[in-house]
Amino acid sequence: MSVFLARRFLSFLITVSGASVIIFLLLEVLPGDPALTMLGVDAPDSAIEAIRLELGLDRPAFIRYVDWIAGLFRGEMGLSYVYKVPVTELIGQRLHVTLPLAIGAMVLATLVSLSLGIFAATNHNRIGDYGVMGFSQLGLAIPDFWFGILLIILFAVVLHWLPSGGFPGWDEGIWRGVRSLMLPVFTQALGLTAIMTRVTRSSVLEVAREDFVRTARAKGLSRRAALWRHVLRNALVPVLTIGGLLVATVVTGTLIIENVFALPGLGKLIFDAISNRDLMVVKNVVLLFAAIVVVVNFVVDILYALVDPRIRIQS
Amino acid sequence: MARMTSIDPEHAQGAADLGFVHRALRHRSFMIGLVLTGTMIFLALLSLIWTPHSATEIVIAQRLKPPSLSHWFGTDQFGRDILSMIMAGAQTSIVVGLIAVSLGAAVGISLGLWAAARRGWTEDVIMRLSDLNMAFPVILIAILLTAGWGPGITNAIIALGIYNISVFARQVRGAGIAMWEREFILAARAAGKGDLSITVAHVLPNIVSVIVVQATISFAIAILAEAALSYLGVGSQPPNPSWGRMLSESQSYIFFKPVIAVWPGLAIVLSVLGLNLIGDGLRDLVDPRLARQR
Amino acid sequence: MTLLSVRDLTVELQTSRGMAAAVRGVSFDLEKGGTLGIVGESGCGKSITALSLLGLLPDGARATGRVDLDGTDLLSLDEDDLCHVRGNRIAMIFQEPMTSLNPVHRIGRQIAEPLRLHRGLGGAGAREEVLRLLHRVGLPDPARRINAYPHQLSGGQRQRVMIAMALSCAPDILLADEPTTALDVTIQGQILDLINELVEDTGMGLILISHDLGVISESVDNVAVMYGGAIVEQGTTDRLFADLVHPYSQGLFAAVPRPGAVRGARLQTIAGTVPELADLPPACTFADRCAKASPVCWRETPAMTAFGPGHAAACHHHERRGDA
Repeated sequence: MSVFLARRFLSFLITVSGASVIIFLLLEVLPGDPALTMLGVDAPDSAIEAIRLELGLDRPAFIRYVDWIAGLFRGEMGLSYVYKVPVTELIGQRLHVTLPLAIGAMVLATLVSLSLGIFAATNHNRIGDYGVMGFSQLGLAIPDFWFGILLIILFAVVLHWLPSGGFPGWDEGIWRGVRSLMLPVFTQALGLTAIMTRVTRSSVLEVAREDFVRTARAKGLSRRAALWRHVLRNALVPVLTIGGLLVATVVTGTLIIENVFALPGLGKLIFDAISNRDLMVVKNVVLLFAAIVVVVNFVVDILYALVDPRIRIQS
Repeated sequence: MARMTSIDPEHAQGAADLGFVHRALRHRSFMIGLVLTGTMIFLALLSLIWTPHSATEIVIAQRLKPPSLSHWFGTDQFGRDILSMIMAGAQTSIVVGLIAVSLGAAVGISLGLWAAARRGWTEDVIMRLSDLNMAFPVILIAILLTAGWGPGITNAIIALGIYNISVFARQVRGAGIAMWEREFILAARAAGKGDLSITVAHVLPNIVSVIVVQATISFAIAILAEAALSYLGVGSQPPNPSWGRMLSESQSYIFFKPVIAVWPGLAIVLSVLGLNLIGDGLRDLVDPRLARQR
Repeated sequence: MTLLSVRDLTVELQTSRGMAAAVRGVSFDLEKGGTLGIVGESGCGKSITALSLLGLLPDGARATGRVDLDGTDLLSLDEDDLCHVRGNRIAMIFQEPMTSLNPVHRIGRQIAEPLRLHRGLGGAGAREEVLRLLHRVGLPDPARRINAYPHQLSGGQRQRVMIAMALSCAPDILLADEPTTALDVTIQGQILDLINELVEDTGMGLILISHDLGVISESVDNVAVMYGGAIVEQGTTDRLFADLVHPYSQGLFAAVPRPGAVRGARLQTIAGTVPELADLPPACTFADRCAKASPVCWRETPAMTAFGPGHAAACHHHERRGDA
């Protein structure tokens, strides 16, 4: 187990460092002079010179990269050029919106898709199965931003039940915050649910055909008992895999959904930072996103080992 | 059974091709997919020579008209004909999808085949690169590119291409490794054929179905991603018509003209649905064993 | 006393070409403590016969006839009642010990499952019983192995675990479907000896299914030879092997290499291959591969005819020989 963990951790470190190099190259080296990138080619020379000095952009790229990473280890991400506050502080504020949104969507999608997937598998080739598969086929094809717009039209414009966007902040009361996040969470959950439902269904169907399920039935377990005690845990491995991969989708999704619903989260932050050419914010938030994706997949690997003893214990 | 596995299935298949067409014609969801995708391609091609109205001309007098005989889907906030914009928008989706998938497929398939044939460190490098790619979802790459170079459709194409490289490399590697373990390849090896000639003669032809299925699904993903990027304003730029941007523009009017947000969304859903149905159908048709569990 | 009586068991399976009979009018009896071997090639319906005794046929399958266990017709029982029979009165072990155990559960838990289900045994009581069972089936170091996962055991050890699981509720009948086929040759003998020993000690009945005549002849008192879903010949092991009457049984026997045979003598094979279920001849299922077949074989299903004490065969062409 410890060898397994060490190996996974090493590959995690490699991936995150690789990601930081790519981000740095794409933002500060390949496009040319970062000062020009930030201010545009029409900016007066004096302004460009000023920003160079202010942000230390006159130093060689390699030094700036090392400086950035060293700062990260001290927990510093530099100042936002536009907001003039530490990037860490900005990220902290925005997480109040993005985290509940992402986690809420993931939890909702997991609950719904596990139930739907198991339901479809146990009703294989019957009407319920076809219904669930039709729903998930549609869920895969609907772009999340359009689904969000449709939800706004229905629940905000027509029914007036929920706000069409914006976020009042948690200080205005938990309920108001939850209300503003409801449509975004549904929107985000749709695509995730569609994919995870399909995977759950086919995984349950596949495991149900295994010899050991027949053994369980030969012992006298009912269909239902065999499903709960023998099929589900084995069927969970592919669902976990997809769940891990979908974290990338969630990260991307927050970017889009926070724009649809005008939510002040990380996705909106990064997006505004691009419009404002706020490189400090862009590079750190993108790295944070990449790191989240990698960390979650690291956690998923550990979960595998918990679910499947064949990974945990080498014979 | 051993006798069966030492025959290259690709070369044993020839006679079954007619059966494939017959089965395809009876596969309902596959045919629905074909019709949907066919319609999209037809509309895109038609828009090259003819659209009901100009897709870009601004006619303020005609703005936000409801559907009528002359404007089937109505007009938008600038008086442009929505149907014409959707037809022209299909071009953008198809062009972005085609370039991104071809780019990804060309590089990804080569890398995947290489990794499957050579294993060892080449495989490690390729898999680590594709891990790295996983940390950067398409939209994130596109945004990084936009931050560095400014907005444009090229960013979307490059981002999708990079993403597809890793998808194809992974898929082809997996399927390729499975092929390399089959007995007919061992036989070819025993006969003294080299890695390259075995790859070209036996591995590639036998994983074509995997590649075609992945290509349709990647195409669908590309359409969704292009729409998302254009919606965010970092994809295709005005006046070039695009479904995603039509949606982002319509959002300002949903309080008094919600219906204009419906058409471009439907166009995306039907195109993506069509491609996904084709992909799923193909998977059923080439591998009936898998079909049962899906 | 007859424990299990199977009469006219017919099982139809769903195939891509519609329903097809996989078992055709099979009848046999098993005495209390008796042993029966069912022998035949793969696809002859022997495994389906076994699964139908437990009501574990694939979805869409249809079984007709009677399967009486102590006077209760198993085919007429509902799911709940069948669950009380499975693993309790009739237990089964399978061909593939590698895949027949759940990879994510410890073996102790898997063996304890029928105990909890049918005996209401849990906790320390179950553990003690599992240890006893593991010891009984000869798994070395049971106290440690009880916490092992299947992948940590060898094939032979896993089959011992399967046997322990089957034994747990002291069943009346043990169904063993090719229990040694997937094992190394050296292990096969050990597992077979273990099964025979357990049958002798506990007095449970045994139905041993195998394609291997050697395995069958060593382990059971009675034999049924199956082809194309029907029993073509059955009798006591001694009688049957002394005088094979059905052309299929003769062919099967002639295809087995025997020590002491003339060096260089060629093994005989049965012409053709086993056809798909739906393509089997309508009357005698062996008619299309049989050297002795005549028009009557295609018209009439041959009846099971006794032609000696404890020996019968279903063939239009068998000749009465010996001291009938």
